[in-house]
Amino acid sequence: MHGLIRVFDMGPADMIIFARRSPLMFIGALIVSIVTLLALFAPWVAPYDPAEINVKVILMPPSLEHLCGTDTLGRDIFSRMLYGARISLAVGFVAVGISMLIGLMLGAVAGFAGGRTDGVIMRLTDMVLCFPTFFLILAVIAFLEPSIWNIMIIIGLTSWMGIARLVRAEFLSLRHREFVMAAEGLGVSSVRMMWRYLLPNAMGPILVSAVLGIAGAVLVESGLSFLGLGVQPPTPSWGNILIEGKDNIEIAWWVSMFPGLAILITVLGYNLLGEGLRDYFDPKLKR
Amino acid sequence: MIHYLLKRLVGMIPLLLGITIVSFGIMHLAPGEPAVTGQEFNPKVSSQDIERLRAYYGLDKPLHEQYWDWLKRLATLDFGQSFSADGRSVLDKIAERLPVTLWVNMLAMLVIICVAVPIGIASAVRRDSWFDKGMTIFVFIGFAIPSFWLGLLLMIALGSNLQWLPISGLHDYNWQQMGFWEQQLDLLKHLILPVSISAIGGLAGMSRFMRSGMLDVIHADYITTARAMGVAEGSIRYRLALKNALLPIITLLGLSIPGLIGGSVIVEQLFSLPGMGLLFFDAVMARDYPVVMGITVIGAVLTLLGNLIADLSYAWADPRIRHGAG
Repeated sequence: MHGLIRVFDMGPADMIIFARRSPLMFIGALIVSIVTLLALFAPWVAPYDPAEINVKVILMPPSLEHLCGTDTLGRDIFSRMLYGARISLAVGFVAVGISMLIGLMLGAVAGFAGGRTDGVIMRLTDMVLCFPTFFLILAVIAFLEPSIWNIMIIIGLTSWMGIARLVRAEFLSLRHREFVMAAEGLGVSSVRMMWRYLLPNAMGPILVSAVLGIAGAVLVESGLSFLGLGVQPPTPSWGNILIEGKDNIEIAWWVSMFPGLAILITVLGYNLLGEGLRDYFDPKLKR
Repeated sequence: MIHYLLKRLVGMIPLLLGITIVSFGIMHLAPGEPAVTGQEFNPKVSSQDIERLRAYYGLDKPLHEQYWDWLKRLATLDFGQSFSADGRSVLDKIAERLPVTLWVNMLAMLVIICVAVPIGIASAVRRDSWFDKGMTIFVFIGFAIPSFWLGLLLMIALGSNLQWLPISGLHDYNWQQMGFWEQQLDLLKHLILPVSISAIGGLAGMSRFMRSGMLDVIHADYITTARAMGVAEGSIRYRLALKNALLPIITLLGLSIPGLIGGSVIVEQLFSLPGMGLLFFDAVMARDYPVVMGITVIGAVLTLLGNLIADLSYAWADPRIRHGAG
């Protein structure tokens, strides 16, 4: 973990070393930071109000006034994308938070308790893995309503299996290590043991799958938007801005092009960062 | 072997039951009613009519009874009747749509294997070369690209602007007049874009996986031994290493089935293909319960069977398992 914390107080010289040593991860970290900052400071960065309708500038191509052009209502796409970044990233973060919570708990209990408990939990995991989860997400969103909360919750509820398996495997392998047995011998309680000794040791892979999970959730939300079941307009999300441009794509390519690029670049950034972290934590690669 | 097969098939039953109970529960507990009965605001339909309709479809019974009735009918392979206006049997509707989805997904898998395996091998053998680096970038982009967006762009570029490929449906309007081979060619043309879009994500994942599998194997002791014994490099790569690196691919293919089936909703919607994914989407929107349940069951069975076949081929391909288990 120490290496990670150091990332946050790196000086320029350290940055160059980081960029040289793992260029892809550096690019990923850069993309993630920039997109996050843009999302956080959207109200200050955005040149226009994202909801401001202006009939005088309908479907204008990209120009200096409107960096990414305007849509059918004359709204500035660049501004909408900045606000959309907040929504799309929020979906990613909350969904991953939920899936981490479930995955961590189930995986920890299964790996720590072993035996029958482990069997039952892993059976449940297998069952959800066999579900065409996108069907399930679709059905739930269609039956309830496509509100942002429902979308976050259902994506979270259908994506915890990887984390559960991973935590279980980590816990199983740590369970019989000497330091754990020593702690057990000293009478440390199960909950404290998991929290204090097992979890920190499993943190690396968990972090990796959380970072990759955010990327996955952003993509799922955009897929739902494509089917009209994502975050609903007028609230902008990258997915729904892209889809709103679909019908006019032959005369106004920019409406769909830029949000798609934003999704691509952001997901790419998270994936690069995640893979970089994976290499960083993988003892096999530390030669 | 037969014993193992039976055990696995029996083991599927609780999984299937679990999946159907969850789906059934979610569907019926959600607020709202199917289109046929949700007509409170239609002045021509009295509340007695609605009650009669609900009774006709068995929607007035308690949930567990409805599920039990559904399950009993399922045991005789009766998936019930669709709630939609045509009222056809669910099995017919699915049977008509399933081939399209299966074809697109199987072709996509074929493309994935045929392209990803050579790419993965080449990247591993020439590790850190320009080819390897280029492929790494391709893989990351393949993972990150929203497939429908790429599909949309390709439709515009190759379909509308260049007019090289058809962009929707399975057949040209004058399909009836074509000769046999012309028809096949037409079908193939219509399938190029959907299959490519279905394959893109898996392609990236599989080539990455193949690369790391191959790298693992190349550094294994028995390869070093073979090299020390003077076995030719080509023979080491393609006879010894490749065989072992291919094994995990089988499992990965099995695991990728739910993703492909789920993704077919988007691909079929994008290219207006009359497949199972589109049927599911329409059924969900109209709350056509029997169709939704039918597709869920078929989708789950396909996934479970796919995993089983993957495990069996794995056992068949790996002599350690083949001889060890007996």
